Amino acid sequence: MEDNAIVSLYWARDEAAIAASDEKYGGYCGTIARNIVGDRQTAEECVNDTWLRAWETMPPQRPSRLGAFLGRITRNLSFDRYRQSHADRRGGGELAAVLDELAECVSGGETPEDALSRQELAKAISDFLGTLPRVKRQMFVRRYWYGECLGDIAEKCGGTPSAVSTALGRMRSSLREYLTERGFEL
Amino acid sequence: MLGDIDDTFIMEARKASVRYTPVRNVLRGAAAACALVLVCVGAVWGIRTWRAKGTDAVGTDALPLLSWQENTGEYVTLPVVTYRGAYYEILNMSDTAALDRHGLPHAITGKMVGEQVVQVRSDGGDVFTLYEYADYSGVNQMAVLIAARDGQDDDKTYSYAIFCNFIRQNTALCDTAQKMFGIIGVYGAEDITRVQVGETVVDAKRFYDLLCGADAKGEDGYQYDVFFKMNEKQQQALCIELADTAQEVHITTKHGFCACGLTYEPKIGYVDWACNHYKLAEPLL
Repeated sequence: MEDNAIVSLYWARDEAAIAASDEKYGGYCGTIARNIVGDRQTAEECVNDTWLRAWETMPPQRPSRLGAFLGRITRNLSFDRYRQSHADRRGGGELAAVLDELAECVSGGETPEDALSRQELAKAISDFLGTLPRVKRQMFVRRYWYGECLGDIAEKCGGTPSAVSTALGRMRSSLREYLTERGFEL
Repeated sequence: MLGDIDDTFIMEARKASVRYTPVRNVLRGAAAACALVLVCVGAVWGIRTWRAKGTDAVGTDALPLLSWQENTGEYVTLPVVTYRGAYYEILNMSDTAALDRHGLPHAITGKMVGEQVVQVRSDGGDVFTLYEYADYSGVNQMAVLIAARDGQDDDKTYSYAIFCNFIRQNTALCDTAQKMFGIIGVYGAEDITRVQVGETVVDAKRFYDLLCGADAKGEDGYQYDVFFKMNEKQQQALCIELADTAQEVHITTKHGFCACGLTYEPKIGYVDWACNHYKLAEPLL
């Protein structure tokens, strides 16, 4: 089913929207969730919560890219679940490594001023990504948006995990420099 | 913050998984361009053959088929459709040089249009109806099809759709030379009338035997064999050398069809055909 049709089902308050979303994007969202939370059961819960959140937000929202919209919800929910389950401990798992790497170039803080500039920062990061060659951009997004492990990225994008790691390290340095030049305090 | 990046990049990363060969792919395009300048006709292909793993919409996220335009001096994206697991280029019928290169008639008449096989959508979003090439029975149906752009029912304009490459899900795999020859209707050396490597005409039987007896490799094996243990500078240097010395190979069949999508790399003794690489047992020239 086309994305527009699925969105229309949401707007029509037709529960078939959930089934259609699950059929088309269940695997996709499930992968995102598993990359972040680690275990299958929690991931399934995140995916189910995704459909609920989508139901609550459409209407009023009418996403032009349903896949990214649902994926983003799954990602946020999965991060929330991850934080809950790791509130009192640190380390271990792919996400911990991902967050450690990202901390080199962008803060994960949520202060009010951060919230104010959050959109600007996201825009700047998007602009930075737009300057990258396509394959490197995919590596970056796979690692830091989808939370994929280096081995998977190497398999999908080519090269070895160490080569991917090196490329990501360079991209992080470039991102840090890019953001600093534009006045972001990191 | 990273969660709010542009949707385009999120979906792009989801859809497209391409082989990361940073320098080489660019320079292989350059190699194609150089070869084309030597031949001085029409277009030559820089075919990107790798495909996303696990994607569900074949063709929609394919990397572009690029063509070097001699008259403008730049690459343009060619209209490409996918059919039966392969890419097909829709030829521009006004590009008579390209038609001549393939040995195809300049006009498609009604009797040449065979059975309708499928409707497909090009990367550019145009819908084409593909037909068998009825008037060219000697050529395997995979080599050439006839395409009509949708929405032209009353006055259809037909074009040729030429096989370019299989859609490769696993770059470690390759096709035998026999299979590739079969696509153009060649089942033995006797089905070939002429083989030209660069400016040199070579013995057809020797060429056929060499290729069929060659060690066939997919992209992974080829990269490993040619670039293993090289640093980036060495890779670049070799890429440039390969690009400078690469020679186009044209195989003309007894049916008059000419397959042009092959390249011979004399320095390393490889013939590249679609997404396959054949390491010859002895130099071709």
